Amino acid sequence: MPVTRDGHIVYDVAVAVQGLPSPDAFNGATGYVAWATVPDLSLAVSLGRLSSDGTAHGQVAWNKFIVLVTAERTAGPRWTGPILLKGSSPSTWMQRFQAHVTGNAGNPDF
Amino acid sequence: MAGMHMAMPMGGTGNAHRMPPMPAGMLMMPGLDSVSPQVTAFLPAGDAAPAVAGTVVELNDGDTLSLDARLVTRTINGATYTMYAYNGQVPGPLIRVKQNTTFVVRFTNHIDLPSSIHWHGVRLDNQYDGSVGMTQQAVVPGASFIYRVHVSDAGLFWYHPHVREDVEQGLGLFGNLRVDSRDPDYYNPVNAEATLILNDLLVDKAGLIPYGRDGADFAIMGRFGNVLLVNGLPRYHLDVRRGDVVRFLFTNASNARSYNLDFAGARLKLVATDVSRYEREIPVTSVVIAPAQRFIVEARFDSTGTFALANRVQAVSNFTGEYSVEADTLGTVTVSTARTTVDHGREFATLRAVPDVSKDIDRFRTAFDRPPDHTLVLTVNIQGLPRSLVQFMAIDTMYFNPVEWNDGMPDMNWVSTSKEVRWILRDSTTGKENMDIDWHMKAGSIVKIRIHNDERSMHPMAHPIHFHGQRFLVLDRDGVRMTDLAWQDTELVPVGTTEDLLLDASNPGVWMAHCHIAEHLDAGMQMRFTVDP
Repeated sequence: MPVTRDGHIVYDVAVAVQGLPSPDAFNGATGYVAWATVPDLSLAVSLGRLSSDGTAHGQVAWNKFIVLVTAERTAGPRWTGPILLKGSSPSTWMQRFQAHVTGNAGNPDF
Repeated sequence: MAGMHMAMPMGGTGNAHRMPPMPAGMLMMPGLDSVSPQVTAFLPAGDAAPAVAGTVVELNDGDTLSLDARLVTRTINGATYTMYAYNGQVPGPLIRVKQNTTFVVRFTNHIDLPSSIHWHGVRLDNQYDGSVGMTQQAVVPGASFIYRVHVSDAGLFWYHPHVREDVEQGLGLFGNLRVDSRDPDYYNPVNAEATLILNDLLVDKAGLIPYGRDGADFAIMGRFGNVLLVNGLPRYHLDVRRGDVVRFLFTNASNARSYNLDFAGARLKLVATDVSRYEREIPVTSVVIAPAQRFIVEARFDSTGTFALANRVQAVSNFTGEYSVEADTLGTVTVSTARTTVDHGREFATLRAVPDVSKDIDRFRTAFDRPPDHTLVLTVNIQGLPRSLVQFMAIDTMYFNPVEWNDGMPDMNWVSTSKEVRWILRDSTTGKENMDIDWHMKAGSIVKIRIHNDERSMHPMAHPIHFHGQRFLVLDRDGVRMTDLAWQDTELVPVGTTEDLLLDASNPGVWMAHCHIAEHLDAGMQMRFTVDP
């Protein structure tokens, strides 16, 4: 299975969007772009411009990531246009058991 | 199945249960401080001589080898443990034979548990497969069994018990069987070879963390050790010259741990796996190897210095909900300034195509796109664990890690046994589960099997699925066709993934298929299939 040298699993990310208006509704943007970024936003990659069927594909090798769709005028290394849609990898939903242990004073009968 | 969890004496030595070591900063889950696994704690005990390093035994056609399972002592990182070994050696003797050889093994059981020997990956006569309860009765302490092993495939195989593998294999009963092709050019020319078996042990200051006598503990995730070993030692070392190409033959004999092997930047290529070479060699930056799998990897060391052979993974803490890098050095390779004596750089740089493998696969290609003949779902049923643990797990499964590289919840994992946890292979068509499944296929048939690892189960995790006595191709993963195929006998199916396998059902008999996480096998994750003559 695809894993990087430092143990990150390589994910194929497929974005499929429906129902967005024409991008020029957003301050003259020329298209929609999908992005993946880490939760603290320090790293970001473009998953590409949405094609006419509303899809884009890319790969990321991060443990947790957020997917954004923005309206852009020009291509760039990061988004500058408005964020219209946001999704996140299931790994960002991971529950912290620590919160249960300290939050309920260790009560087993919660 | 409901059960009562009784408080057991904690701490101390001997055969009392002990909580496994917890990662720094991790607190015990509420409600678990007074529970322990609902199985009798077990560690081997008795007269035992110190283990010695494994030796190579070359056998010719018709030769007989005596193999016995016995108690040994092993000193690892300054602590001495009583464990098991074949012929007192760790790893067990490396049996080396030529392709299409038949040899005989007289196995005698001198340990304190019933045992057997399974010849993993070998397409041998069914009666010698070593599957207790299917092809033979267990070999009780003091008894013997004769195995007649015919090897038709060249490659790297291994042998291990097939009853309570979590205990017997986990405590050292494993060894390699290397089958050499009679073709002198079967593999590339290299400067050196190294055969490495990986496994891990779980210990604390008092010794080995006890196993379960009447059933596996650590049944949810399997037993992840905290001491990682190569050929039974905590630090492997190899000296090579600059420019040397080394062929590493890896076997993962761990109970549960998958590894992501890294050679600190040395160039690597995959040459072969379980049962064959690849159609074309594959350049890689690291090697993922699941329990029971084998990979043959060539590495070129271009720079001088000392390079770590490491297991580098993204470990998850269910306690903090975060990932962190976990890098364990398994060994080192020191590259001298002296140049290699014979430069195999050109052969290394070439990603060799192997027409023999492609030709062998050609007759199966017409079956690649047909619908599956069988579909298996991998899932789990858990009953009778402490309520707090069950509630945590229910929340936990909002997210699944495709591969669990580490034990992110050791206390919860430890208290689960094969009495409360039932890992399941479910036939989607019939609804039958585990040993109620009995597929029949005609010898010579090609059988397409779809396996889906259910991400919605109570605790989804990756499973290395192994078919006895046959070989298969991995065709597709989540609908994406694989390239550069090779014949396998074990495949790691990550959580949420659907894989299509093509089974070459050529070897008659009644066989097992199962998850090769040893604790999952004990917790029921096995099925039967019959290849009718």
